[in-house]
Amino acid sequence: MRTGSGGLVLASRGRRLVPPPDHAGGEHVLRRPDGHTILHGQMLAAELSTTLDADLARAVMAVAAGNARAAEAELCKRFAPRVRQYGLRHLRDEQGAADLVQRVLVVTIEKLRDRAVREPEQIASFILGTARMVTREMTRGASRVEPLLPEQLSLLESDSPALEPLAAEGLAGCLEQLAERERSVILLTFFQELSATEIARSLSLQEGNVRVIRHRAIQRLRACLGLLEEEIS
Amino acid sequence: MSRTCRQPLPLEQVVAYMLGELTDPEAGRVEEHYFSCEACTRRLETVRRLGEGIAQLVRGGHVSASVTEELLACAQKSGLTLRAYHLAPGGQVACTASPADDFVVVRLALSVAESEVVDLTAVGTEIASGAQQSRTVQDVVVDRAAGEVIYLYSGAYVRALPRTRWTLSAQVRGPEGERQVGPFTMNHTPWEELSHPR
Repeated sequence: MRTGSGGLVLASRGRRLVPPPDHAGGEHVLRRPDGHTILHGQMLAAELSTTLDADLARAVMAVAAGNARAAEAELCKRFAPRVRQYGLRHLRDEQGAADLVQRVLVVTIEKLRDRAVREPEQIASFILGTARMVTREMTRGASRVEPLLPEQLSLLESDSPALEPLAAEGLAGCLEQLAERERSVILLTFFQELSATEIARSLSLQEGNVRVIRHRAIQRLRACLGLLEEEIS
Repeated sequence: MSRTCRQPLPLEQVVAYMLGELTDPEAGRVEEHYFSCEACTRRLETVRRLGEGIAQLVRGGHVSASVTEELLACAQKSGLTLRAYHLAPGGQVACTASPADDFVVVRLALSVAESEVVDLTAVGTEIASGAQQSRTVQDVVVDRAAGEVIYLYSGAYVRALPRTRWTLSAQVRGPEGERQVGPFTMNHTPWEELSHPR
């Protein structure tokens, strides 16, 4: 959220921080409206997780390059899973998705440091656009993609790790509890990677019926595995 | 940052996106949403983890289900070892599972109309003790093109069975009423007890 005076409001606590910041003894300092100052790193470590995406982007742009490491780290941590999902969908390969995450986040942080992002409030769209562009480059041929430099890799120290796979035993038990047809549709969907149209053809069913069966089965598996709670935690 | 979402992407749309079923503009809208939404990204991650987990279970030979000929071909193509038994109604076969078998495939010849559904009952009788177990699976998938019910059993599950006589029968239900097809008899012997395994 951007305030009229150009200050930053942290989403959950409503604390307003007024750039431009001062520098004190090499440490970066942000000044509150009440006149108190706090060290950038101290504030960010405690409160970044509740800050809006756009405010993180502004925080990186508001200071000299490299002086908003915590905000940069939080942005990377937050967007890495989104870019990874995009990569898995479009590149259909774990390594490709991991490469995409690195490249997109490096471009993003570098552009923010250079203050080359014109609309920080649209940072999510900027990162999505970057993901699309880098994916196009990667699919044109790996040779066109330059390896990352060590200083670029150092930007990604907090890149969030991939999620743990589901425990096989629990998943097998939940799969066993499904209705037979649900189980078959789930195998055709996720092992054979068939679309609803293809499954409908294969099982002599209506496509809409396949979607209903698939939806119900996935809902039941999510509930059985406790994934619904995980999604909203 | 929002950890919850006031208008979350519907689950079916998330699944369709992940599976590449959406048009480019539809997929683009989904992407614009989840790039701004932690909650929907988590939903997408959940479905993907689920899908990867299911595929991994099959690759590990840990699933039993009625399937199609095409799925068997896909399993073989991905390097899984399948041991198949074909049975006609009234027929019987000696069967086992070797340590190398990921799956045992039971193929029951069964001519079924589009409007009919099939329930499959398996009654197992342990040879040594005479103890019985019975299980009915309702509405199994029928490969109508092949004229078969194709049931995939986990190799690990079959290997753990003692000497057992399995009697399978199919109850076919349709607008014309019900009929029973079978029995299909399978005499299972553990691999280690066979002197000259196939």
